[in-house]
Amino acid sequence: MTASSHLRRHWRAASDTQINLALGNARASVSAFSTATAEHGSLIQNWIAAREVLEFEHYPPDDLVDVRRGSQFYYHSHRDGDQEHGHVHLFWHATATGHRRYLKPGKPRWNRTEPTHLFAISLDARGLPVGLFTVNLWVTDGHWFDAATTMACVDRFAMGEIEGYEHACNWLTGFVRLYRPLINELLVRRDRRMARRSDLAKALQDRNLEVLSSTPIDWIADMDALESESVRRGM
Amino acid sequence: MNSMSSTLAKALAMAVVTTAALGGCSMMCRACNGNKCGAKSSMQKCGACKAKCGACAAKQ
Repeated sequence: MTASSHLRRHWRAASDTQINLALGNARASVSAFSTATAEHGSLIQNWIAAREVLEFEHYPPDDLVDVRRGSQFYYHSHRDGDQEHGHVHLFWHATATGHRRYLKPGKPRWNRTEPTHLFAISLDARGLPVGLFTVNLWVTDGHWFDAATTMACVDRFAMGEIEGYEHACNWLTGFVRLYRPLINELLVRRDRRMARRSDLAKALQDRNLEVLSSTPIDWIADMDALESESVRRGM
Repeated sequence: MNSMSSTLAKALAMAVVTTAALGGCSMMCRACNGNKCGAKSSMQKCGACKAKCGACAAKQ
């Protein structure tokens, strides 16, 4: 594979400040990934903690939740084929209008709705991210937002350092920020696909529609492309 | 090779390869609303999965 043409175009047109920001996120994410792999064997090994991986089970078992930032994720595996071993589902705790949903101490985390799904990251058996995808509402439940509102949630997604998973949390936070342009494109494609359906409410529950948009990624090639862009600018 | 890709390549060379997932509960029964990839809260609401199909109970 090669670097994403979408990302290359985005970085070519970006300001020096934006490139610096992307480099910062990239370095943080790569460093956290490298440390997690050295300490635990891989991101996946960190989450499964020597357990056998069972289809549909969540790893870690209760998900990782940053209550202060309203962010949540977990890893699981249930799809056959290609490069994917499993995937990370990312959620953000939003109200029906897309604002931050604050959780009250001692109260149940959710009453009428579940956290809203943002997108998912496919990992190979070594824990390397190899793809991104979006899913239909019935797959995860929660609120359904258009691409712009979902991106506002993505921009607020951040995982503080949860004990035992510090590097995984840092990897994910940096990775989401780094891949923002591609995530946005993925969500726009998701919306375009759903816009072709005459009845959105029905389409959101259509069991024949599961993955709505997806893209393979080559993280190593993307990092080369970003560093080349910074070198080209003499940064 | 650039520095970040070099770091990633070194990390991957050391990475443990995780074996493929074994069969688990894919019943998606009505108790879970057929919500197969929801956040953990939705799976924990009623605990009916165990009672209803027994597929989960077998592995716990």
